[in-house]
Amino acid sequence: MKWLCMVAVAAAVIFSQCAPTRYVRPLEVGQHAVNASFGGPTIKFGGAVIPIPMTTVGYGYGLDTGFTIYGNLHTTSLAFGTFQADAGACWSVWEKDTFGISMNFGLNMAIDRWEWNRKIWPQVGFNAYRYVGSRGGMLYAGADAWVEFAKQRSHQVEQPTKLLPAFHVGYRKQNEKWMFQYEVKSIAPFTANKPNVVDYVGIAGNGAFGLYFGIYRLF
Amino acid sequence: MRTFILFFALAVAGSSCLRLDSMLYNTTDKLERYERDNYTGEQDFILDETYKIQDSMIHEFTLASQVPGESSPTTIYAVYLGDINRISIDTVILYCHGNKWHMDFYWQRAKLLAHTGSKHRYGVLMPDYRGFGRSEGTPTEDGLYADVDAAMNWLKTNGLTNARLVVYGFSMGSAPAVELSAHPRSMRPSKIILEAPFASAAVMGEDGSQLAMPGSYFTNLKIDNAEEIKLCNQPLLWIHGTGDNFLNYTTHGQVVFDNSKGNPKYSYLVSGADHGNVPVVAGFSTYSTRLLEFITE
Repeated sequence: MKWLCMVAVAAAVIFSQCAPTRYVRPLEVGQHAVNASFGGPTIKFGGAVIPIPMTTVGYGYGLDTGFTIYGNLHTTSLAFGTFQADAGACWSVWEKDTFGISMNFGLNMAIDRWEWNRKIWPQVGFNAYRYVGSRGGMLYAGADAWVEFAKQRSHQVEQPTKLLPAFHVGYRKQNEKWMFQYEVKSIAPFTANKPNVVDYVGIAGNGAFGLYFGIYRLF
Repeated sequence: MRTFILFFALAVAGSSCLRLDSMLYNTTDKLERYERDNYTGEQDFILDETYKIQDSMIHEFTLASQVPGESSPTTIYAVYLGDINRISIDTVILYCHGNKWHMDFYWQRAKLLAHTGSKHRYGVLMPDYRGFGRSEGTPTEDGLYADVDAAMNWLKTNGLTNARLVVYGFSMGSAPAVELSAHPRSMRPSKIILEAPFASAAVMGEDGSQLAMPGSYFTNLKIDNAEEIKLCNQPLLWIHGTGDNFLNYTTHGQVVFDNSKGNPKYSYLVSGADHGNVPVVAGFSTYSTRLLEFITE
């Protein structure tokens, strides 16, 4: 085995942390958005470093002032016969002038068509953001975590990881119709990334860097 | 709710059937011939001249391997190191190689096994699975099992009895070694040696994601050594490098060992050794001595 196996596994098993922050700041009340994202954790591949090409498509709606709901379908997972979706909400906690803080709550759900195995992972996160420039730019940083409820993994072995945290920084640029998002994540930075069949690119042998791009069409 | 159900049904119905199964096999372009000692490609280690196998002790041949339900057999290649006439009276090691390329990559390992204890002490049979090396076909999990069973059947035809068959599975080769020990077909190995074994494809995914993620999300492969080993009560020797950066010795090997019903069962952990260099780090002599103790006890 080695790189071929590693890439193959990586491309499919990193269902977690497979997308950028959905909404850094809630949409306006009554506003709609459809979106797509691309990117994932980075791995060493044939001497180069590449992000695992995970893709999602989704929809969001400004339900109330400072409160947006959203849902996304994970299309790469779907290509492997696994229906994976996430749904959640973004809530504005505080905003003043060009600064703000928001929180995200979501559920990640997956079921495969082969053995109908079902899983749900709650996800919670926050963002601090600041508008920059005069053309709708925004810098943001935050953290989120997936929660693993399973007490055991395969073969009745204790599941060691209960929280899969990630820290991120990003830049978002928005006009009346479009929003573009670029984000870098540090995924599971407190967990050694070896031994593993996947050759992740992380910091000091821990976790993985993730690179993501998102595009939103606003209505 | 109805909308969601409709959406879900459409999504599942429209989902692709991509699977990673075939991508998990690390084959190369088909070989025209085996080079053995003349092979100059990457190898985990190269033995010195004292381990040379006499030409008269090297037998390359083909086997007909057929997965139950297949319409026709697949031709695979194998090499036997030793005197074929002694198969009916001596112990033989069936070496199930790992997932890298072909038998030439594992030739040095086969030679080392043949010299366990003394020069040319044991006969060693090593098949190249379908799709590997010169063997025809494409790799599948069922194919792995059929190919190794074809090798067992060849040994049986040449007079080997179950009591003198030791199966040695390295890495991916642990899958057929365990499967055919748990569910014997042509023969039932009397002893099992597993070096750097997989626990299962599911654990591979769990290690990669850090989550308790079902293996079925990405592959239909099982390679379920951790469960199949529960059906094996043959003596077991588990060998693993504690520095194995590919297959974690705690999440893979230890689980297989703990689940084994082998009586007796032994662990041989080689401190600091990585996935492919256990014999080197342990020292060829030390490694061979440990194998000999297990085989002869």
